[in-house]
Amino acid sequence: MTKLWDEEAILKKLAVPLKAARENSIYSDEGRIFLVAAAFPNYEVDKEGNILLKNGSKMSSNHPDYESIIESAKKQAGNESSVGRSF
Amino acid sequence: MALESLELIKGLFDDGWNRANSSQRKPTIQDITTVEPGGKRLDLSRSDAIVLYETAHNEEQPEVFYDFVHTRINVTVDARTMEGRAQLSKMEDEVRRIIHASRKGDGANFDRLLYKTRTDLSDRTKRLHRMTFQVEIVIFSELIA
Repeated sequence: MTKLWDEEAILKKLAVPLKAARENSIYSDEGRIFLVAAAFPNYEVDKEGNILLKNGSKMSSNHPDYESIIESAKKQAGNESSVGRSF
Repeated sequence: MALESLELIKGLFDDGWNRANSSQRKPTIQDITTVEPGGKRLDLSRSDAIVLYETAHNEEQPEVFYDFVHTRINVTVDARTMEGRAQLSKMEDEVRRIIHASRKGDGANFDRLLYKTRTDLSDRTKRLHRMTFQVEIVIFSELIA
């Protein structure tokens, strides 16, 4: 029987956007745990996904640790997040 | 499931960790959700650490009458050390050993324990050696109360 669509090709096309969705899930309720883990144990993360300094103020993107925390959280979420796993 | 997922994995590591396999260093095993903000922090210069957190919880309903569910819970086992790559490697082997030792369940709380993804998250600039392991707890045919 002829297939109306090629599942493998669809999955191939979706691989990049799905990976991006998983990485960006660190800013959502579903993936915030990856951001929390990347900031742990030195910083806290609030409900809005802001990284908090010890005095409770928001960490700015110029902070020396900011990029490494975000990168690490995104890398882990890209590999482990359940976003889109049902495809 | 009688025990909550993180409690269960924490118990396996607390009871099963053989310090002889990790240079006589037993890591501090912590559920990330129980650490109070501003409370006692993890000091990696004094001790290695295993941090645990749940990342997904799914229920499948395979039965015709929808009276049972298969439950799959993903837990991340996040191993951290500042003692170098070799120490992290030993911790990884011990994590794998403990997970695989319980692969067929414990007869009470869960039925399968699967070792899934491994992600290297080491940060050389901070001398932090970090590896995360995704572990799946599977409970078959749990009766819906």
